[in-house]
Amino acid sequence: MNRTALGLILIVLCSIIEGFAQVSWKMSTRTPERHGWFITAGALCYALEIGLYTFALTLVDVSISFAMGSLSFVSVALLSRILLKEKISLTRGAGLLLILTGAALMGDQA
Amino acid sequence: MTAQPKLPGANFGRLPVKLALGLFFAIALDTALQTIWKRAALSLPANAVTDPVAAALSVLHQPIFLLVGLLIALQMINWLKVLDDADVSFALPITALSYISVAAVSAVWLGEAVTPGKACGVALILAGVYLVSRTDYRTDGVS
Repeated sequence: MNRTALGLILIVLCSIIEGFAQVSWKMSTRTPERHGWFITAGALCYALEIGLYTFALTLVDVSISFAMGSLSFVSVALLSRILLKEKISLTRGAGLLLILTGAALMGDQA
Repeated sequence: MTAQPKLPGANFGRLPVKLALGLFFAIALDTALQTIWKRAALSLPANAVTDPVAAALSVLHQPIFLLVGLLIALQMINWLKVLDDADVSFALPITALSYISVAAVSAVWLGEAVTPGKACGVALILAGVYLVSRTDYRTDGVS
């Protein structure tokens, strides 16, 4: 696998991990009895993300990796939909589609 | 802050100085963090990805990573302060402008290319973030 492709995969992975971190912290507000557990899980996700993003930066331009980080909006929305049963409105759906298209375009420029 | 603007871009004349500064710092910190983080990543050995242990050890010897950690902490503290004074739906599209500033600073400082494709990508992402954040802050019907 070439270095650019690996960098792009790492960025997508970071965005998915970010989604789990955000959902985990949201879960901590909903389940007081497991508050500490979810806060810790979220913090561990962020620690992992920082490590992986550092590797991604060794492979891809920061102007691309930072903008593609907006994919976390998409992963947060999808994971909140699945795990927290939050709804995705039409406007939000359209916004997510624009972000997805923009991120794909950025990836193509890498 | 009592009366909060419903749409980003509205009522900028009444934006409190503290909030305006907070938003400015959010963009500045994002830009500094990302470009310095990239600089730090470039200082890692070429085989960083295949040898993560060696990379982690070399991180400990690079003071620039200390700066990265400091900027991450500052950015989180500043963001929480901003959210004390403003809705996420107001603050987020404004700080998304850092997609532009990171591209500009990385072009000047790190020599990264600015292409029409990148510009289109950033424009689409900005439009998307604007749409995502202008929807209701809460959709579960709980008040």
